[in-house]
Amino acid sequence: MEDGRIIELYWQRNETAIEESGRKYGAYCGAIARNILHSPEDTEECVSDTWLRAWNAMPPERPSRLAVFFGKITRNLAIDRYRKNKTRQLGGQYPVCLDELGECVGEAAPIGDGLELRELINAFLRELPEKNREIFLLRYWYFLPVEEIAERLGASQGSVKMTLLRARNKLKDFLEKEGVSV
Amino acid sequence: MKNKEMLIDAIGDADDALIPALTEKKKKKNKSIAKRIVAVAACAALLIGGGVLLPRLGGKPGVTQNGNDPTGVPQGILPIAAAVYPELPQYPEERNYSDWEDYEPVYNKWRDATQRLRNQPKGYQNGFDAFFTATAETFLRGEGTENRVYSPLSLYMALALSAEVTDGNSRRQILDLLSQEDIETLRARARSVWLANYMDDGMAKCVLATSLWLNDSVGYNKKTVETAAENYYSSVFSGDPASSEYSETLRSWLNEQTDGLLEDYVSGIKMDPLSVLTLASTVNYSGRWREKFDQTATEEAAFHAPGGDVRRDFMKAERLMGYDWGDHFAAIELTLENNGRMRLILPDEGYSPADLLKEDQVLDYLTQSGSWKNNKYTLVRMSVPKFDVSSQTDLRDGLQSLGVTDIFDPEKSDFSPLTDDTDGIFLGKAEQDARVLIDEDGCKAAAMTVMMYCGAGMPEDEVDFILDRPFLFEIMSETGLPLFVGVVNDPAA
Repeated sequence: MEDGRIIELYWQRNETAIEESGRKYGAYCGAIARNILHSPEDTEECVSDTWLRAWNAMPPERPSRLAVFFGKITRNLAIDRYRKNKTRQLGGQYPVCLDELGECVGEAAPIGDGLELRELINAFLRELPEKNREIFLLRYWYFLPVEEIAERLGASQGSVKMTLLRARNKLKDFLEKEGVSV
Repeated sequence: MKNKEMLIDAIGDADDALIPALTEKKKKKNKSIAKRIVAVAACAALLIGGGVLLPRLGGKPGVTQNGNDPTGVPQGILPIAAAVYPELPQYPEERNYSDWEDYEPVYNKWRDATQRLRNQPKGYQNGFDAFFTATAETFLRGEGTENRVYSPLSLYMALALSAEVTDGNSRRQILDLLSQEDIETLRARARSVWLANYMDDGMAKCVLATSLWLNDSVGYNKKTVETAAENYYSSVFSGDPASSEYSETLRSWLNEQTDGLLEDYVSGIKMDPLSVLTLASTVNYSGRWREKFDQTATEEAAFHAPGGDVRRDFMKAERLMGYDWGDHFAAIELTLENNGRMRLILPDEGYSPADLLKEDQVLDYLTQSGSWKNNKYTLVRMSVPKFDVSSQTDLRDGLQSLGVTDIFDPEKSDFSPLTDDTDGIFLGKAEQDARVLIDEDGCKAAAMTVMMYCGAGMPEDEVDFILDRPFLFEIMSETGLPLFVGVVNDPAA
């Protein structure tokens, strides 16, 4: 079913919307949750919660990219769940990504306002060449393992790692330049 | 919440349009990322500036005795000081490494060395914007049909060196134009500007070179010459300006510093036999586009030059990128790998580059290196002519109109820090030659990679950016300093 039609179903408060969302985007959202949580049960719950959140958000929302809209919800839900269950040592890509990004900001002083940080991240991402941006976001938005990114792009793992290293260094420099304490 | 968690949340909150699609796995072969990253276009540019100081009363030309020795090395020319540049590791090309573990330490070494150079005291660029604003219009203006290229950085260095060898009002006028309080501040800042912009790592190049050519029959203040050499990374030579060998050595030095790009201009340079000092300043810059143009997409089309339409090659691309605009212009930026960016500024219909250069808003745009107030991230369909433009600018009138007058006047000039041997020294020649050229760098298969990873989610609006009439360009260094600005009236003139 086309995205526009799915959105219409949400707006009409038609519960088929959830079924159609699951059919079209269940695997997509599942992949995101699984990369973060590394647990089939948690993943399944996260994906179900995604449709519920979407149900509450539409209306009034009318997403321009439905996949990303769902993906964002799943990502947030999965990260929340991960943070709550930290003691269970869930594994997966999330803690690795967290450590990698930790190099960019340090913990010496709080980096301040989240809203401002969001704008800075958008600006940084726009400055990155398209390909590097894609790799950066496949890693830190989707939490894909390096091997999978390499496979998807037909590149070597080494070059993906190098690209990520360079992007993180650039992010660190960028944040420093913008006055975010590192 | 920890900083790294805030960061991961902020990334999750990125604009929807930036998030790549996660569809079925692509299967591609032989298109390694490393290959694409190095496959960027070339941009090369350079400049020389020279000033000759002439003694009004003729100086003391020595006896010419400059026959070549048996090995062909000119005699009578004494290299007094050779500039020693900072050590900078070569940029490690990803394609030369198969193992990331081997690459990382080499890359980090390169990065740390680069960062050390860029890490200069706060405020070291102070005054440069004012200098740029004051001089850009002076040296680029005119309704003529010629192309014009001006390097503020090269003139800045040449003037800073001139301030070192002058005193009194002669020095004050130079300091005023450079917006510096005193010579010590200028010296420290010029040194920082030099270091922060230095780049010569095999991939990107930005080298400012200066040299002093002394007359061997004139006694010089050793300390002044040493200060200039040390702080401005200058090479110093001594010889007889009447000898053809001395001029030839100067030309060789200029060609070497500019990789031969200014050979046409350099061949015409000859020292004045009576000169007390010749001062040369060059900027040699080259870089590769971070995202190259596809050579197969380049098409010939009409460029509406002031003298009538001419057929020129236009490089074409469609990219999601920042698009800036002002009251009477639109502009885009093309980034060069580790070496700053080039801005292309298209005047609105009915406005010429000369009109734009009179507007404060445009000068603001040329000097600011951050985000412009009118900016939109959008799909830009660009059509950019390949160009090779050069110009020769006599700086004397312009400098005098900008308040630097005494060094041109033998009655008023004060070159006492340089020499007590002769008075009435004045600046007899000051010219700047510059050339900038851009192309796609001959790499194939670029369009494939340019658009392939675009993902979905194009912005609603799209813009065309067609540089098919006279326009302005600017090359800004990695540290945000304008290296070159120019007016293109005909891309291949």
